[in-house]
Amino acid sequence: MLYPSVGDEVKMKRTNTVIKIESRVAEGGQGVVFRGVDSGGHDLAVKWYRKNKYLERQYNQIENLTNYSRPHPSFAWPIDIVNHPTIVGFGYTMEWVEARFVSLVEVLKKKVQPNFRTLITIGIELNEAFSALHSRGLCYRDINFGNLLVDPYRGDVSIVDNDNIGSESSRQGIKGTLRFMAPELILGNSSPSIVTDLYSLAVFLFYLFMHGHPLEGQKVNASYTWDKGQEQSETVKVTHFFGREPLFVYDPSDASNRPEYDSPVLRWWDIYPEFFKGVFVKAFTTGLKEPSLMKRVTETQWRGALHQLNDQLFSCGCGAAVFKDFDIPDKRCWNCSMTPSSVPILEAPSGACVLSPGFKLTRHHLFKDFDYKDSIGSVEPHPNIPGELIFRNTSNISWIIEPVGEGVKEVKPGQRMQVRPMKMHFDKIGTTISNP
Amino acid sequence: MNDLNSLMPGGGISRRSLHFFILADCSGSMKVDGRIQSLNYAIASIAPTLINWEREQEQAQIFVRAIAFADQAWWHIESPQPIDLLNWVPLTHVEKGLTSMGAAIRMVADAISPEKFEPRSLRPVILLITDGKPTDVEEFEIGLRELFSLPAGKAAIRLAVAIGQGANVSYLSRFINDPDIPVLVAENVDQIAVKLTAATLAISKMSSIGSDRKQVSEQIILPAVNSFIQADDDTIV
Ligand SMILES: Nc1ncnc2c1ncn2[C@@H]1O[C@H](COP(=O)(O)OP(=O)(O)OP(=O)(O)O)[C@@H](O)[C@H]1O
Ligand SMILES: [Mg+2]
Ligand SMILES: [Zn+2]
Repeated sequence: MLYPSVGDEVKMKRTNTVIKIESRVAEGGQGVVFRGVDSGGHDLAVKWYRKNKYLERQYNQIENLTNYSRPHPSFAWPIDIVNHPTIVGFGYTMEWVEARFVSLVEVLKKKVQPNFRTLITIGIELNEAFSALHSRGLCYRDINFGNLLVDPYRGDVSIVDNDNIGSESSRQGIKGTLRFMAPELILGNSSPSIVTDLYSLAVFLFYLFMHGHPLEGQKVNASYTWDKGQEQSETVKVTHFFGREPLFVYDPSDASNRPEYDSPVLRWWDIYPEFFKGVFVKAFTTGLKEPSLMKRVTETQWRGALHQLNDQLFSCGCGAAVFKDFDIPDKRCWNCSMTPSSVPILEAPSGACVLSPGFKLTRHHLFKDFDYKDSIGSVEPHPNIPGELIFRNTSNISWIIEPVGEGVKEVKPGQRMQVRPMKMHFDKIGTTISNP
Repeated sequence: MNDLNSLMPGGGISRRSLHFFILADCSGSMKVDGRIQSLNYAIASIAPTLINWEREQEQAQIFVRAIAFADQAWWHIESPQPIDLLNWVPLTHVEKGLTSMGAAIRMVADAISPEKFEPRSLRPVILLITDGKPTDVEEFEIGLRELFSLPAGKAAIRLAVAIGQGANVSYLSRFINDPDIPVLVAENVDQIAVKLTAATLAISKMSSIGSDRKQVSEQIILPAVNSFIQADDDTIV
C-alpha cells in the first residue's frame, strides 16, 4: 500500500505507541495528512509521504526535527516518525490542529476582518514563534501562506508543515516559496538563514496588516503582459523584481512602484501611525538590499512595534477603529474623514498609550523590561456612563491617584477607577493621564 | 475584549487570475467502459482540491473554461467561471465521433492570444484529456505551432491525461513539450480521478511564481505515472 487507510494502525518509532488512523484530511504537495488517535484517545495528525526520489532526505530531515523539542506552542512540531509493516515509506506524527484554525490568507480575503487587537495578536504570536525558532539556531527555509493557520477570533497562531525547518548550516534542495524569499536567496547568493527568515517574516507581517505584497506595485504589474515581443520568461521577471532590483511599494525615494490603483494596500497603509509604517520602510529598503541582522528588522524590533501599535488603538466617534498618531496630531479617520475628538492618554515610561477598551497595562509599560504578559491594569467601558471608561487594577499592589481638582485616592487591587485627568503612582513609578 | 464592535476596513487582497482550460475528448470511444461518465465524475471530484488550494494561497484566483472535442471542437464552458462557482454540466460522447484534438488546441491558442488574453493573469493551465489520438493530424500540427508561437502558450502549464491503452502518448508528449513532465496514463476508468488529482496537485504547485517544474514533477507526477507505460514504446525487453 502507498498510504494508510482508515482503521490502520501505525507505530511510533521511538516509543512504539500505536496510532489508529481515523480519517483522511488532505492531500498536499508532499503527501497525505490523516487524523489519528492514540490509545489515550488523543487526536494526532499523521502525515504520510508520497513515494518519491527525495524520500530518504525527507526521512533524515524529519528524524532530525524530532530531536528538538517544540520551540513555541504555535508549531505543530513533528513528534516522531511512524511506520507500518506493509505501507511504503513512512510518516510522522504531530499535534492535531483544531478546526478553529483556518489559513491566514483565507481570513485576509474575507470581507469582514478580525478587529485590530486580533490582527495585532496574530502578528505578535507569529513574531514570537519565529523568535523562539531562531533562538534555537533553527530557520524556516520553505514558508508559505498555506502553512500559517490562525484562530480569527482569538488571534492564536498555528504553523503546520514544519518539514523544512533546519539548522542554519544545513543546506537542502527545496527552495522556498519565491514571493516570501529574501532577494539574496532568489539570486542564489546565500543559503537559508535567520537573516533570510527575517525577510519572510516582514513579508508576512506586511500581508497581515496591509493586505498585499510589499514589492508588487505598478512597476511589477506592468511587466505582467502576454504581448508578443514584450514577454520575458517568468524566471527573468522574478529574478529581476524580487531579487536583483526589488523596490518597495512605499519606497520613500522612489515612487515608481506604488500600489496599483485598485490595491487594498492603498487603503490599509494610510490607517497606521507613521512610526509603524517606518518599520516596514526599514524592512523593505535597507532590509531589502543589505542582508544582515543589523539592517533587517529583528523580532525584538517587531515586538516593540506591535505592542506600541496596540497601545495606540481606539475608536473614532463614528465607530471606526483608528490609531492615534503622535506624529500627525490632526490625522483624519479613514472612515468618516474627520479628526477624531481627543482621547485619554497615559504617559507611561515606555511611551504614550491611548486608554481605550481592551487596553492592557503590562510591566513593560512601567519598567521597560519586555514583560508583556503580566497584566497590571485593564481598560473597559464604564458600566453605567456611556462613553466613559474605567481602569481596573489587576495587579496586587494599590495605585495612588491624584485626579485633577480632587484629593489623593487609593485604587486597591481588583478595584476600578473612572478614567479622567490625573497623576498616577504605581509604586515608585509616576505617570499622568491627560485628555488633551 | 470590549472593542469587538469597532468598524474595520473591508478585507480582500489583490490576486491574479489563473485561467484553467480543460480540453476533453468526447469521441465515440469515450462511451467504452463509461469513460465519459468517469471523466465527468473526475472533474467534479478535483474541483474541491482546486477550491481548497485557491483558499490557502495568496496569488491566484482560478477561472475555468472547457473545450470539448469530437467531430469538431466546441466551447463547453466559454466564459471563465470562478472555480468556487463551477457548475459542471456533464459531457456526453458523440456517437461515432472523431477526435478533433487539433481543433481544440487551435481554439485554446486563440483564447490565449495577446488580443484576447487577460494581461495581468498568471500563466494559463491547459489540461488535455483523451483516450485516442488526433484524427485531424494537420490541424494538430497547426495548433501546436500556433500555441508555441504565443507567449502565453509557451509559458502555459500543459498537462495531459491519457485514458486506456488506446491513447497515443507521443502526440500528448508533443503537446506537453517538456521532457520532465510525463503523460499521466489512466489504465482504467477507476484511475481517471486519481490521475486528474495528481495533475491538479501538480498544477497548483507549478502555478506558484518561480516554482521548479521539474521538482514538482518528480514529487507528484512521476509517482503517479505507471512506470511500465512510457512514451509510445510498448516493446517488452
Ligand atoms: N497538524 C495538523 N492538524 C490538522 N490538519 C493538518 C495538520 N497538518 C496539516 N494539516 C492539513 O493538511 C493540509 C496539508 O498539509 P501539509 O501542508 O503539511 O501537506 P503538504 O504535502 O506539505 O502540502 P503542501 O506541499 O501543499 O504544503 C494542510 O493544509 C492542513 O489542512
Ligand atoms: Mg505544505
Ligand atoms: Zn471616524
